[in-house]
Amino acid sequence: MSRPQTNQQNKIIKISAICLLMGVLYGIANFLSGKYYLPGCSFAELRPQIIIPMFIGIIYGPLPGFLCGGLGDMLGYTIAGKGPFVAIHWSIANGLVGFIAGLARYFGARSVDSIISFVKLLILLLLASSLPFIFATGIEFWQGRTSFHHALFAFFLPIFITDTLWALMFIPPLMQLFKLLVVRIEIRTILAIYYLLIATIMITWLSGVMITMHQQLQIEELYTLGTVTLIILIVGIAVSAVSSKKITAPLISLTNAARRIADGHYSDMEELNNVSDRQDELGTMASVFLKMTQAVAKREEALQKELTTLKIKIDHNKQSSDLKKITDSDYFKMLKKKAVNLRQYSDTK
Amino acid sequence: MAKIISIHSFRGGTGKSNTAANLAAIYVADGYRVGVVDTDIQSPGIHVIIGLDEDDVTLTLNHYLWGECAIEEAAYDLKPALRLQNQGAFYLIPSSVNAADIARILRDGYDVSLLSDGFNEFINALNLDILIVDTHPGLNEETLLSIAISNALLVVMRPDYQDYQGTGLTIEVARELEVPQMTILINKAPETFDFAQIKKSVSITYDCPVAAVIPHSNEMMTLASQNIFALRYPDHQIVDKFKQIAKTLIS
Repeated sequence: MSRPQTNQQNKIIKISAICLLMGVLYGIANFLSGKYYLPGCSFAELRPQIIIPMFIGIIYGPLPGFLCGGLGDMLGYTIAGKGPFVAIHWSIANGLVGFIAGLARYFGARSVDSIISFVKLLILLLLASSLPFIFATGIEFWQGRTSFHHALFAFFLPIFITDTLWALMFIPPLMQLFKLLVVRIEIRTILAIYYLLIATIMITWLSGVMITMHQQLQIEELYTLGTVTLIILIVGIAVSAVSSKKITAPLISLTNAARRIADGHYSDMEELNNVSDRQDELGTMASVFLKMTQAVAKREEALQKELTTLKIKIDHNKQSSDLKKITDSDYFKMLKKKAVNLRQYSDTK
Repeated sequence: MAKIISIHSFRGGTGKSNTAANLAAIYVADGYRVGVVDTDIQSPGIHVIIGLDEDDVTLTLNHYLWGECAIEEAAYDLKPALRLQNQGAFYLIPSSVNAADIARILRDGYDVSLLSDGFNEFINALNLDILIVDTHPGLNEETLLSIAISNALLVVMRPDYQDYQGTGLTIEVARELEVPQMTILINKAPETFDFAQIKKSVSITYDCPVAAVIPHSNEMMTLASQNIFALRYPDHQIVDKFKQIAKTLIS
């Protein structure tokens, strides 16, 4: 067996072991949190562990994510004494959470280094927290076990809102921890606003949950409030993404221009021309940069010309006087006299 | 008929010793009996390029000049160390690298005329076809002597402002001494140069033929003067240029 195959096999064994371990962890966490149901919801609970299959999916891909979520969910039921197949469509939904998050690698969101990839990741997390539960709730409704109102307020919304919030709160820091989130300037700009938004929304939401638990709010009011806060969050993120992009775009143009100059390309500075039109400090910086680029380009061109054409300058007066000093010496005169004889000796050998 | 070829440059660091070693190796490969003398007594170095172990060196050019040995006793056969199997012969007379020896010769001086006698004795004793003299940079007495007794002179220069004036002076001196054959090697030329233009410009300025323009080579620098380039990379384009120079110098 060749070495690459062995390495490949070792890698598969390692990933399987990690996924299995995380699946077990997910199952145990589901069992433990299963005692604290969300208001009005017979089985959905506050479960930050939802990020486990999501993160496994992001790191290792859709299939490991699916297995981690699905098998972990079945394990949770088993520990609770209900057997693994008690709610197979919900187990599939849990698997789909990991699967959808695992699609990140196919959309350029596995490694986040720009606002675009960050937004793509957030959209995937939103889909991972919604689509699987639309599927499971749909099955409940289709089989006639619940009314539409109950399916919406007792199944879908509680799970969707809480899972989305957990995912948005914990996945970006986890990605940062695993160096999958490169804190470039545009990411840095959006992250501060992002965390502030998440924290505010999370506090609002958890407060709502607590208040409802004390019978102050109807569950319809709670989940409508949750939906509204989630919409505020999404709109907030969208606005901050756009504004961060606007703030950082000129800086990125400047960085790209600097990189091109480092590679010796002095033309194609159109990007900088746009920035230099701005009235702020970045505009000033771009116009200074443009001037500098033109100066460097001109200097290099001159140097290139100088280099490729060799110009020899000799001070003939100095050469004559140096030559005279040497040839006027007694030693030189003697040498000159003997030179012919000296050479002839070897010539006649 | 033995031929004495002096390799000279006005300034240090032009690649003179390297050129001497490579030319010698090319002549040996062509079956010639070749001797090399390192007359750069103040800063000897060619033995390193040629691969002569300092520990194996007992007698040197210094000892000959002090009258302590015959010139051929200071000659080292390099063929075994370089694993050369062909017909030719390859001898080197190194200068002493011993600091005390260098200090002594600089302090006391020596009879420069002994050098020309020594060269001839070296040629006779080892039946040499070609004697290559690796000189000290500048224009001192022994350099003038080396130039004076040469049948051919190769002036090595770099395309560099610091070299132009000195190279011009060297060529004029050699002309005064009526050296029969004189040619220039432009060494370590940056790749950005137009080589044909340099060659033309130098030969017109000094009214002297240019044998070759050798580019600055990374391989050559990597070898760091610790081996003979022509033996290590026999098919390299630079070696072709050395062969061309070798041919010019004995034509």
